[in-house]
Amino acid sequence: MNFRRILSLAKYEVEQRALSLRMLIMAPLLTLFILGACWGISDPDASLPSSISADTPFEVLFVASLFILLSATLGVVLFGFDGISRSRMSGNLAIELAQPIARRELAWSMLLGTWAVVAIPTLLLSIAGIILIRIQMGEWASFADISLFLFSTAMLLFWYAVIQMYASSLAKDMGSSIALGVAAWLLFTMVWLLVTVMVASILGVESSNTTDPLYETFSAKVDLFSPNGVYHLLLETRLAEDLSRPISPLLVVLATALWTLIPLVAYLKRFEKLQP
Amino acid sequence: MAMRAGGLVVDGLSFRHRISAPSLKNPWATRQGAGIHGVSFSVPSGSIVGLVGPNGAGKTTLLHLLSGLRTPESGSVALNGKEWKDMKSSPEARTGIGFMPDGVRWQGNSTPNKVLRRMSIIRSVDSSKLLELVGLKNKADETLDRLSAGMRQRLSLACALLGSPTVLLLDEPFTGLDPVAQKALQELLRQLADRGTTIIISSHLLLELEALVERVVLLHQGQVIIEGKLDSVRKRLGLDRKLLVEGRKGDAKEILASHGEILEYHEGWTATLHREDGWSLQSREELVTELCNKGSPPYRIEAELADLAEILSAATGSEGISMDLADSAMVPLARKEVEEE
Repeated sequence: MNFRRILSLAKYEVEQRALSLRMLIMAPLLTLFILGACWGISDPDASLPSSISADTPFEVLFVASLFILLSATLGVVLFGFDGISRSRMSGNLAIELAQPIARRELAWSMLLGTWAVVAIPTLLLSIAGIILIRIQMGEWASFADISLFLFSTAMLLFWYAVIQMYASSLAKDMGSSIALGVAAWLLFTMVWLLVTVMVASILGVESSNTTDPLYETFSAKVDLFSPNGVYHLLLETRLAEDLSRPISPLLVVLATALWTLIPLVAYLKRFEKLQP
Repeated sequence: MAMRAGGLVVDGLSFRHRISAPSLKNPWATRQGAGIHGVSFSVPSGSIVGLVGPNGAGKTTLLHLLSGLRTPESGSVALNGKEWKDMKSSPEARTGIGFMPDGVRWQGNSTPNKVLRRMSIIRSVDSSKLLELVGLKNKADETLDRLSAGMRQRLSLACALLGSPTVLLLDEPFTGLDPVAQKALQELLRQLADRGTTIIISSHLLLELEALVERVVLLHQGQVIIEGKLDSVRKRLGLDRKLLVEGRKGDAKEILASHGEILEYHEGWTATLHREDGWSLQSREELVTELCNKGSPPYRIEAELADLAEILSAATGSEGISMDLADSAMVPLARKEVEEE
């Protein structure tokens, strides 16, 4: 694999999309959600619901991660839903696939381009958010906390980028391209709680009280099957014991590795077989 | 098939499309569809070859296999003497190939300059002169959405020419081009062929194609029916047996009838003759001599060459393709009301 070429192509993708209309829509949303959340939640005068604890800089970042889940993942959907299907439908994918470049390289460059175009502003805004929290609370989150937060956020966006690119490679028209992209986002972002409750009911786990330790353990296990869930479980490993759900960190690391590898391998294999 | 030092040799290439055939048992089931079967032909280096055939003959499928977009089930392709089983998994083999697909709808806010920049990163080559070469220099920074169909076609051509490929595969390159651009493209392709580039053109615009190609490969129902130089193809299909003779004086009908079958005769006189064993130089000399001796000297005598459309029609027939308006129940005919006087 020619890594230099992959990075050049990904950089080109980012340059192309950085000033696109989609970015003009996404940039204010990301700014409002990430900076607004960090500023608002860390405000000592802010009155938060009693169930939400935001007493330390990392706890503020943990709560702010909910806003990243809503905005940045939507950004990946916006940039990725037609990442392959658009050029496939217009016919220029045929030109690219006929070039003397391994399909794997082309697949990686498209994936990294889609990931980076959202990850770069999201991570930059997250760093700005960390500075805002420092201004509001007078203390920094620890280096380990910040590193874990940025790493987890980058991984979350990577998982979404792979899912979106895979869905885009399946779509043969713009309608199904949008439907697949939005459906994947809705499933993990909006409907997952319902899925958890339904599975709990089927398996006979009491789900009427979501603070019940048995249900918490169960929901943590179900969350291993969702990228959003794994993202939160990763962040929870740095939270105090009473704020995190009881699950083995090894399982979380394993889920992180599997969520990275399985969709990636599926996407690369799919791209190898892709017909223009 | 014998290998050649240069050019392209296609040997027994076969491929069947997979068609989705979902059932309750298996929603992802597929079945075999149309394709190409045992396609073999060779193209010497620096030749321009026309790939012709009716709709669905397998021309685009063949170009896809040659450009590495699909994997053949069997067969091989030899490029400049080196044999490749699967162009798709051999990026190295594709270095020498430039492919222009049919009808690429370039769209979006990108520009021809940016498109070529991306392609030049992929190919790791310089693309600075290409837009000038295809006549898009003035539109280099225009958004793709604002390009006309012909300009988009030129952009596709520029992508195919990137990296100076030794084999150029063009699928319907004349579509959308104005007559001046068509002529310029023909000239450009001739120049490239003179420099040793092997060019395969698939097109339904047979007049434009005929003005350009030296050889044809005729595909029908996924198989090569006939291939070779145009003259030899005409000969093999029996399309070189017509002779056009024109003169002014006398009545030549009787003399002409003694040399061949008269297909057409107009007083004055103009005749089209047919001869089963073809018109050799000797048979033409004998005809001219007799016409001169009997007072009807011809001022024009030439073999009437079948064009590509006639070659295609002779080789494939037109069964199953009803284009007769009168026979069609699907086309409502406008009725002209005639007022009674």
